[in-house]
Amino acid sequence: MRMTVGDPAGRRTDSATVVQRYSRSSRWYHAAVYLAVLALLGTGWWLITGREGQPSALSRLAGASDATLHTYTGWALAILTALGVTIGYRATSTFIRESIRYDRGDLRWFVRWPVALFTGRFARHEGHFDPGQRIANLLLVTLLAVLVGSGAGLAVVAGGPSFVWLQRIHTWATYLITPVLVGHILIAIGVLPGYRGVARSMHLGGRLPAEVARRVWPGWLERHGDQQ
Amino acid sequence: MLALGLVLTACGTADAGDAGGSLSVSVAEPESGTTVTVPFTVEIDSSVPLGPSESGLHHVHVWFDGQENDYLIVESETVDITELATGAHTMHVSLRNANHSAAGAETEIPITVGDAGGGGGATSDAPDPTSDAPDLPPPGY
Repeated sequence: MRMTVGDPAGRRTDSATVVQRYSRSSRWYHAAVYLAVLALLGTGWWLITGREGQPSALSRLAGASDATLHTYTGWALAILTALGVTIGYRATSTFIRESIRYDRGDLRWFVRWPVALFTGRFARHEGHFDPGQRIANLLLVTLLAVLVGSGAGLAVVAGGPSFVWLQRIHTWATYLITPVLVGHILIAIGVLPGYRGVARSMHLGGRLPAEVARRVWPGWLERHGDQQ
Repeated sequence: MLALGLVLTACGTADAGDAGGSLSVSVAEPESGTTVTVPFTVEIDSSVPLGPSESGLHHVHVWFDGQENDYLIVESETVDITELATGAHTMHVSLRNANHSAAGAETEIPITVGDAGGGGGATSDAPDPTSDAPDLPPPGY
């Protein structure tokens, strides 16, 4: 659905036009996943940095130890993952397909990206996701799968040699995913001028100003804007 | 996902370092009912070797007065308690798997922390069960 507001002369302007990039169910799923991931990241780093046994603010709020909270939230993320690949199979397929696409010109997008972060003058690309976002998506999905798998293993395998290996894998996947998540959050909240306004695609009804979509996802806007 | 769960469940308990018998944990020092002065050393007697979580071995959680979420992690047979309010306390000791889940062995003993100037050391001074414990601030160990 595209909602438009005409100017007095009857012309549609980008600043007044909004586009819907994600369905309500996608936005709620994304929110559930990131709330779980943020809780896991917080409690996980609390434990990694040796503060286990000292209840964090979240632990005091929940009335459970950080280790328990981490385990239960991990199971919640595992359930969300299972729902994503079963009930959300079609959306997941589209997400994966759009994340592994490669078009001519994508390399040029990367060359211009460091400057475009601040100017907003990204090179054109044709994807649903921009080329950097595609790499971040694949890294996030892979590392989250490793974390969910190894986390489930740590919860079930109570100790011993298998536990030792699972814990190493879990810890290293945490080290690797943290900067990717921090980068994703920095971009998503619009701190960087080039990405200002993108948070609306996933929040507050998901209505994104068309000028933001044109700046960040021009090919997608042209294809889908006309269909809406 | 389901397959992963089944595989992990299948190898779970057999891999936990449990010798196969029932697990046990007890407090060797201080004795139940002892009056101690801070700092004092707790000596733990466990049926399985203790070590850091990274080693895959069991460890022990020690907490006081039912505050189960605020605990000390003990990865060897002894631990020093350096802060605990004066008065009567219940010390809980729980044997834990490497993943911090309860291993099924725990114990608790009453101890009393005396004034630091009261002579020091531990005395086998069983508390009067009829006396009311004073209102205590949370232990700050």
